[in-house]
Order: sequence, then C-alpha cells, then structure tokens
Amino acid sequence: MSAGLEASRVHLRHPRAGHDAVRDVSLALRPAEVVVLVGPNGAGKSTLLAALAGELAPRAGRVTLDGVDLARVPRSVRARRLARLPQEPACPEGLTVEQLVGFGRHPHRGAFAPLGPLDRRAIGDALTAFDLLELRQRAVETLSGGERRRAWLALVLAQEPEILLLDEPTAALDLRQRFELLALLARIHRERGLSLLVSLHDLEEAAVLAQRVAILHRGRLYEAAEPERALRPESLRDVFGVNARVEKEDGFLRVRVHGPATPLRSL
Amino acid sequence: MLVWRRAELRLGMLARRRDAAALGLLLALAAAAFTAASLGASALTPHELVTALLDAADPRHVLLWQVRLPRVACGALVGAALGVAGVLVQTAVRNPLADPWLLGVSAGAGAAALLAIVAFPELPALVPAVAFAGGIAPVAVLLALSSGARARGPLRMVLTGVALQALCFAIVALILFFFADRAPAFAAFIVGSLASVGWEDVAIVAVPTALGFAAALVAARPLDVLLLDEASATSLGVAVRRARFGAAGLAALLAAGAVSVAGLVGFVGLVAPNALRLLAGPRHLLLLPLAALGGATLVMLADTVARAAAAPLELPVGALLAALGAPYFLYLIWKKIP
Repeated sequence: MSAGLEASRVHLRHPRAGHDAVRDVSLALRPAEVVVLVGPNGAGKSTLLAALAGELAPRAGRVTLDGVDLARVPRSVRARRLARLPQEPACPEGLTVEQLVGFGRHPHRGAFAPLGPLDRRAIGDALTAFDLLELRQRAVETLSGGERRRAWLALVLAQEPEILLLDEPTAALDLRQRFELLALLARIHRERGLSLLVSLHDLEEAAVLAQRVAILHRGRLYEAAEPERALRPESLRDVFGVNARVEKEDGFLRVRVHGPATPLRSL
Repeated sequence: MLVWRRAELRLGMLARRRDAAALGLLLALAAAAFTAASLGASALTPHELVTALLDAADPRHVLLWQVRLPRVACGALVGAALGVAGVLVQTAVRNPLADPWLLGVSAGAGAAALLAIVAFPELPALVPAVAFAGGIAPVAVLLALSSGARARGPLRMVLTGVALQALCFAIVALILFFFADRAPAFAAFIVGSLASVGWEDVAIVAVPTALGFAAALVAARPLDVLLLDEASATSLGVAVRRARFGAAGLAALLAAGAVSVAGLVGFVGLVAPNALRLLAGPRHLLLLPLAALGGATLVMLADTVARAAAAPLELPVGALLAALGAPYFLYLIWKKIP
C-alpha cells in the first residue's frame, strides 16, 4: 500500500493516433508533492496524465490511488480526490465564469442538491484565489486567454481535490502571466497541501515549481529527480537534442541553450 | 468601478430578461393554443370558441372536441418533444447544429415506423416502439463514429448526419415504391402533418414526451457537465460515453413519439433550442423547459397557419416548418462553422 497516485510499469496507447505513446513508465506522486513532467512534443506527457486521471486505461501495468487500482475506484470518489485540467478545455457559449467554476462542485453534490454553503464557499475561495471575483458574471468566451486559463484552474480548485493534474497550464500565456500562474500554483500547494503533477514546456519554469522533475523521452521515463539532478547538460542533449549549459543564478536554475546537438539538415 | 457597475446593471437586465422570456413564452403558448383552437377551416371569435367548447348543444361542439382540440394538443406535445430532443442531441454530440431531423433520428424513426405500418398493419400500437428503435440507430452510429476526439468538428458531424439521413430516406423511398397504392397517406407522413390526429394520438405522443422530459430534467446537472470537453467531464466524475448515449437515447424516445403521430417534422429541435439558448444560457434546468415551451408554441402556430392560410385547403405543417427552419439552419451554419 502506497499513499498517493502511482503508475507502475504502464504501457499506454495514444487515444487518437493509436500507437504506443508511453512504454513501461513508473512514476509516483506522493501526498503534497510537486512533480513537473517535461519532455519534447510527442514524448507522452498528455497521454500519461490522461491515464493518471483515469480517463485512459493502461494496456499493461497499473495506475493506483492509495494502492487501489484506479479503474476500481468509483467515479464520484475519484472525482472528489483527483482533478485534471486538460491542455485545451472547452465549455459552451454563454456560460459565466461563476457557473463554470461551479461545475467543480459536481462530484460533491447529491443528484438533486442545490449549491450548499460548503459549495458556495469553495467556489468563492477558488474565484478569490485566481482573482476572478470581478469577472465572475462574464461569459467565459469573452475572456482573454490568461483569464480563461485562470477560470478553468478555479474550476479544478473548487473541486477541492487532493491531487491536481495540469496539462501545460502555461501554454498560450504571456511572460508575466506565466510567472503569475506559477506563483499561484506554488501558493495553492503551500496553503492547501495539494499534490501537483504539472506538465510544462519551459525547463526553467519546471525547476522553479518542481520538487521533482520527471523527464519523458519517446514514451519512456528518462529520469525523475530533483530539478538540479534531472536537468543536466547530458539529459538536455539526450532528450531535447540541444547543447545547453545549466547554471545556478540567484537560486534559480538557468538553462542556456547554445544550439542543436547534431547539425541541422540544411534548409 | 464604473465598468463593474455597468456589468452589474447588465446582469440584472439579463436575469430579468430570462424571467421575461419564460413568462413571455408561457403567454405565447397560451395565445398560440387559443389561436390554434379558434382558427381553421371555420374561424371562431373568442366568445364563440368558449360557448362552443362549453355548450354541448352547439353544432361546433363535437368538431372542436373531437377534431380541433386533439390536434392542438398533439401539436403542442410534438413541438415540446422535438424541442427537448433538440437540446438533448445537441448536448450528446456537443454541437449546437445538431437536430433530431438533421442527424437522421427522425428519418430513422420514420423509416422504421413505415416498415412497421406495412409489415404489421394490424398492430398500430407497435409503431412507436419500432420508431424508437429506428430513431436510436443513426445516433448510435454517429456516437460510435465520433468516439474520442475524432469527428469533433461540427462540419463532419453534420455531414455524417446527412449521410445517415440519406440512408434512412432510401428505405422510406423503397417503401413508397413498393406500396405506391398507399402513397397519399405516406406522403403526409414524410412531409410531416397533423391533419388526421385524434385523442388516441395525443396519448401516443404524451407518454414518451412526459417520460423523456422528466428523465432529462432529472439528469440536468450531469447533462450540463457533458457540455465540457471529454477530459474535463471525465475528471468531474461523469461517465461521458454512457451519459452521451443516455442523452441520445432520450432524444430518440422523444423523437419517436413525435414521429409516430406527426411524421417527419423537421427543424423544431434546431430552431427552438438555439433561439432560446441566447436568452437562457446553456444550462439544462432552464433550457429544457424553455425549449419545450418554445417548440410547442412553434408547432402549434405553424399548424394553425397550415390550416388557416389556404383554407379549406390544408398545407402540411412539416413543409411550413422546413421553410422556416432551413433558412435558420443556413444562418447557424454561416455563424457557427468557422
């Protein structure tokens, strides 16, 4: 029995393309741990997140939640403990921010129960945490990209899970919004003791947020370790195909990419 | 601060607009029912209508009770069923351009109903059940094809529906070909008509409509969650696949009831939900009743026009609704498909 969410030697088929996207990956997310998943496009990050969220059944291996096979955890129980925000979430036109965030309470409410005081508080807290109080009556489709991302994050926060899986939450955000989002995630982790598994493209962002960095490479787990140990010049060369120097500067990890590790084909 | 105030004001107006819409629709429904009962081959003043309804000695009493009122009730129920079915298929395939008619649900139900009529003419009670089976088949195929993230685009969905519908209409055409002697009765069925309905038809459409509507209302919250993308809905604990098939099945039940008495009436499920979604927003607890009211009003009014416009000649109500719905569909296509 191990606490937390754990993938043991999972093989996963890509839900659309049909090929094996993840092979023999074992990765555990312990309570209150922050793990960042990095890897080139097509490395299997989203597929692994889908399996850890229980949306995709592994072809081999197991995904367990506190030692129990995730497929055998009832849907409603799973949804109260585990939330996942996909890369490109979608909601219907005309839905307000508050209504969208209110969807996060779905797993907590009885079939006919109206929103109770606990629900209202969770929604209010989530709106406050992501600075959405003034936007709460706006239709989601009228928001900017950054605001929309915050609204969706507020939804999974209102779900009050113990474990939060986020698929590239900083994609499509501008530079300042990225910093704000990372700071918000760090604060939520600190205040609520959530386990976070976040896929990111930016390695320096990964190093800021992560307690451990898990590197996926062509569907396999290349390494999972503390940021400074995982993000080395060798791993960047092997996995991302770039020559890079990694330095520590003011307590932050700096990744300086000098160029491709092998010559580019002439264009 | 000013922006905030303005947003609040707009919100207040919106809430009031919703209440007004619900109230307005109820009034429109009542007015439509009244008009529908008054007009027809012989037009009655309101006073005459009330007298004729209440006074058994009035020469028009029987006509009203046996012919016109069941027709008005059928129109309302068919419209309500199709309006609710429209919302449900739109949710099931996550696409506002869906409609029981466009997806082949009505055509499938119609083809099956015609088959039942020619194969078991002595068993009219069989028709709605067979129509249900025929109605659920196209949408089951569509959902199976659009599993996962494939076929999510509205264009592919609509075209798949067109193909399935073509298949169902081929079956209908075959039946027409082989049973040409009964063509007039079948023609009314294919265009969609309320010309010869009685109280027994009201019963046939009322049961599936009431069941389907009640079940949809009970499931309003999971249906709301189904409007999100598949990954988010799954994360919120909804069994997406099962819920989609459930919504489509309810839509088929509603459409089958409507088809069994009125034939292939189209576009109600497209027009009513899309028009009312603008006022009510996407959430089902409000949208479903409004779509039912809107659909009922629409069909009753269209049928009144069908009876009164060229009296004593009668136009098929389905043709009128198509004349109204097809341009609206074109408008939606140009607005919603990028």
